[in-house]
Amino acid sequence: MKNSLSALAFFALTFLVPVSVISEELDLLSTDIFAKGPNAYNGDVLEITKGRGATIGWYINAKKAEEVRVSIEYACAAPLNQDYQLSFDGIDQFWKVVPTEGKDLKRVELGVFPIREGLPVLVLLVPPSGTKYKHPVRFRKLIVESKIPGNLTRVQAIKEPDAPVSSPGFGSKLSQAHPALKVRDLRDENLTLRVSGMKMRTENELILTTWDGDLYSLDLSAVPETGPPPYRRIARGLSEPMGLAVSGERIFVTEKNQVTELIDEDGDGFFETYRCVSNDWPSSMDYHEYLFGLVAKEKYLYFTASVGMARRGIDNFQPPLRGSVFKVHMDTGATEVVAGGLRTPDGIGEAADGGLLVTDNQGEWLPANKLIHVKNGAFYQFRSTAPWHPLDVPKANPPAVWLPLGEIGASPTEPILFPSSWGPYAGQVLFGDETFGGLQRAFLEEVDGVTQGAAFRFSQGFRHHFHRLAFTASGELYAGGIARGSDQGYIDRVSGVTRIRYTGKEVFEPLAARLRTNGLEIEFTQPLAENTGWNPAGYDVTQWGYQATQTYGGQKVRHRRAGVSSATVSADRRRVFLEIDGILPEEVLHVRISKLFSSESGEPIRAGELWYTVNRVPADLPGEVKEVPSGSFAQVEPFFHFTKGDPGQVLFQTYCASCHSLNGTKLVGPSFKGLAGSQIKVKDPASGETRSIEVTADYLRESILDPNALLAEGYPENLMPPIGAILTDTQLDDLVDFIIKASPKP
Amino acid sequence: MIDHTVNQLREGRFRLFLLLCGALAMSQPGRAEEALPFAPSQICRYSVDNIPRSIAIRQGAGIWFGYDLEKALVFKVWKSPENKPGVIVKSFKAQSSGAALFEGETSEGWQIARGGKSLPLTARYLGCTQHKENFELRWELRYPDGTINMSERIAVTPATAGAPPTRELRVESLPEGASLALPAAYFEAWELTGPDRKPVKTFTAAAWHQLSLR
Repeated sequence: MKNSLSALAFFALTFLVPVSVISEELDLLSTDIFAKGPNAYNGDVLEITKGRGATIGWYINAKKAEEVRVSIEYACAAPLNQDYQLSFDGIDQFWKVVPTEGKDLKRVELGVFPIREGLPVLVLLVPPSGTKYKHPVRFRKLIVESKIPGNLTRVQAIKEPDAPVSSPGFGSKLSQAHPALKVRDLRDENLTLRVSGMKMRTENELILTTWDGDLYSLDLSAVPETGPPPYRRIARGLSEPMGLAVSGERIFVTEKNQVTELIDEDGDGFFETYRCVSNDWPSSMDYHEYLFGLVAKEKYLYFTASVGMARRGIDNFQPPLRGSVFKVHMDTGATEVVAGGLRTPDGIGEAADGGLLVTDNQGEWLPANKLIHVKNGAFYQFRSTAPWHPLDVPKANPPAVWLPLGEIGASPTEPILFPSSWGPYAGQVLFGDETFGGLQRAFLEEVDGVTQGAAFRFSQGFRHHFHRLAFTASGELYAGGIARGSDQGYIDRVSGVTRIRYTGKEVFEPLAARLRTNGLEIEFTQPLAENTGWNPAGYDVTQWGYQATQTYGGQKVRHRRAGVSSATVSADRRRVFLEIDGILPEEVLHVRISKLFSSESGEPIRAGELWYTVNRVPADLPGEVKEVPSGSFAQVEPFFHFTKGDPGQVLFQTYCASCHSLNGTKLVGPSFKGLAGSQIKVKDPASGETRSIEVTADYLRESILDPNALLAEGYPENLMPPIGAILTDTQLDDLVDFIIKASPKP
Repeated sequence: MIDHTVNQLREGRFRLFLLLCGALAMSQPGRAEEALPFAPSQICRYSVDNIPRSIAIRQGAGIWFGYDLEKALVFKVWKSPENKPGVIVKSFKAQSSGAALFEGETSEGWQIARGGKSLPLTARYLGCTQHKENFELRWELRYPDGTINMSERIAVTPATAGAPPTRELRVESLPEGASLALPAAYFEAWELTGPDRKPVKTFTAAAWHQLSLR
C-alpha cells in the first residue's frame, strides 16, 4: 500500500502534465499521439496503411479506478484481412475493421476496460503488424467514456529521464573480455563452422552441428597449442539443425522440421541412420520455422519452435503450434506441448531448479528480449491471426528477466548454468547473443512462486557472436558462433568456436540482486571500500514497464527515474540495500552504479549496471535500512554526469549504437562514419530499383520511421527494427541532429 | 579348447584389424569423407519442390525420386539434365531440376482393405538409412485398430542398365486377411510386382515388392 501511494505521489509530482481536456468523454486525438510512425496525416485524420512501426498511443490518467468504455472514430473503404489490436494498459482487445460507407467517419465501440487509479495508463491502437494496405484506415480519435465526471485526463508525452554519460559497462556495451577469462579462438580459417548445436559427447569429445547440416567432432585433448584444431566431420546432410543433445551414447538433433536420432549402425564412427523421433506438428515452407536447441532429461527431449516470418507482410498466418516448447519421448516419439507464445526462442537450457530456461528475441509481441523460466502450460504472448495457440490466454506469463534491446541484448541465445568451478558466478545463467555479441549473465530468484531476477553485463571482446555454449567437466567453456548470413557478409562477424577458461581472478562487480518489499539489495563480488556505497546519489535508478503489441518491438512504458531514498551497506560490505519508493510489479528496475565505487582492495568497479525484472514484490520481506555512518556521504566528484545538452546522443546510444557504429566498424547495420552528406545506394523494395541518393536529414528521418522504405544496398528488408514507432517528433529531431553531427562527410 | 582359444585370438585380431582400418580411414580426410553417408549429390534432405517434409534420392546416374514424407508417397520422379545436378539448393530449400518422368498429384493416400472395406491410413515417418547398396525409408501407417510398418528402398544403382526407375516396398504387421493398396491414381503410372516378380494389385505379405515406373 505504501508503495502504491508513493508511486502515485511520485507520478503526480514528476511527470503528470494534465492538459485542459477533462470530461466524461475523453478524446484521444490522432494528432495527439506521441509517435506517428510511417503513416501520414490528412488534416486531423491519420491515414494508416502501414503496420510495421505504427504504434499509435496516448497516456491517460484516472483519479479513481473504474471501468471505461472505448470507442473509435474512423472510416475504411475496404475490409482488412487482419484485426487491429487495442492494448489498454496491457489488456488486449482485437477489432475487426468493418468497412464504412461514404466519406463520413463512423464511431464504433471497441470494448470496456478497467483503469487503474493514479498511474498513467498507456492506450495503444496497433494496426496489423508488417502489413501494408492500399486502402487506409482513416482514424481521427479514440473516445474514452468515464462514469465519473472529471475522472480522466490525457497525459502529455512522458519525458524520458536524462541518462548519465555512458562508457563501456556503464550505460553502454562492454568493449573488452572479462579480466578473469582466458580466451582462445579455435577457428580454422579454411573451415566455416556456423555453429548451431554444441554438446560434450564424452569427457574430451566436443561435438557440434552447423547450420549447413554437418556434425563435427573435436578431440579436445588433441587441440594443438597453435594452428587449427582437428575438427572431424562425422555426419552430413542434416536439414538446418539448430539443436544437439547427448543422452548416454545416443545423439539427437533438432532439424528444420523434425527431431532426429543419429545412429551409427555399424560402429564405424559415422551415422547411417537418421531416425525421425517426432514431427508431430504442422510445418510450412517458411524460412524462419526452426526447431531451436535440445535438452535431454531422463527419457525426454525438450526444444522450442520458432514462428514463421515470411507471411508477416501478407496475412500473418502461422501453422498451429508454432512458438511452442515441445517435449518428446526419446523412444516412443510421444509429443507434448509444454508452453506456447514464443517468437524466436533461439536458446533452451536447464535451470538450476531442474526446470527449463528459454531466451526469446524481441519483435512482434515482444517489446524486448526475454529470458524465460518455463512454466508448464504457460503462454508467453506471441500471437498470430486467430485461432492462435491452444494455450493462448488474455493475460500472458511474464519472462523471468526482460533484456532491453540494445542495452543488454538484441538476439539472445542458449542459456547455460555456470558450473561450480566458476567462483562467484556458479549457478547463475550465462547466455550469448547473435547480434549484440558477448556473454551476459543472469541471477534468478523466486518471489511468491514466480521466478524473476536481474541481468548483468559479463564480457565482450570475442571474435564470434555466440550461439551455443558447452562446459566441459573441468569447467572449460566452448562457445560456438554463428554468422547470420555468410561469414563477413553484411555483418562484420565470423563463425567458429572459442575456448574460454576461467582463471579465478577476482573482479569487483555487482554479482546479484534480490528484491525486497521496500527496495533492491545488490550483492558485490568483493567488499566495498570503507564508507563507499551509503550515498543514494551513487545509484542512478530508473524504472519502466512493457506493453506487448502485434507490431515490432515496443517502448518503455512510464519510463521514469525511481526514487532511491537510502542506501544501506551490510556489515561485511558485500551488499547494499537500496530503499526505493514505488516499486511496481511488471516493471524493470535499471540500476547504474557510479564508476567512482571501488572495492576494499582499491579495485575500481567493472560493469556497474543491472536490469532487475519485478514480476512480484515480496509482501513481507523488507530490506534493512540503517543510519548512515558519519563521513559516508563525503563526495568531491559528482557520481554521474548527465548529457542534458544532447538528448540525441542518449537516443543514439539506446536505440542505434548496438547496430550502427560511428567509427567505421561494421556491425549489424551500416556504419554512420562519414554518412551525412554522402551519396549511398539504396534499393526500393517495392520496385526493386537501386539508385544513388544523398544522405540528408530527411532521408535519415524516413529511414528511422520506415526502415524498409529505402534500404541501403546489401541489407535485407526487416533487418532494422522500426524504432520510429516509439520516438516522439522531438526525439526524432534530436536523434537525426545527432547522427548528422556525429557522422560528417570527410 | 585350443581351437576355441585360437578362434578367440583370431576374432580378437580381426577386431583389431577392423579398428585399425577404421582409424586409418578416419585419419585420411578424403577416405573418411567418402565413408560419410548422406552425400548431397545423392540425397537431399531439404524441403523439395515446396513440400516441407520431403526428401530426394538419386538412383544411378541421374534418376531422382522425390518423396512426400508425410504421405509416404513418391510425388515426383525426374531425370536430371545431362552433366548437371538434379536438385538445385538455394537458401536451404531444394528444387528439382530436369525432365519429369512422373508427378503424383493426389489427395488420396494409402488404404488398408479388409473384409470388403477400405480404410484410409495416416502415415508417420520413422526415418531413413543409407546402406551400401540402397537407401531405405520407413513409415508407420496407422489405422484405428493398429499400425502397419512399411519400408521402401531405392537401389543406389539400378539392377539392370536402362531399366525403368524402380523402388522396392515391404509391409509388415498387416492384419490377417488384409491388404495394403496404393492410391488408385498411382496404378496408372507404376507397376507393382510381388516377390516372384509377377504383377499384383496389393501388398499382402511381408516380402519385398517392386514398383516400377511404366
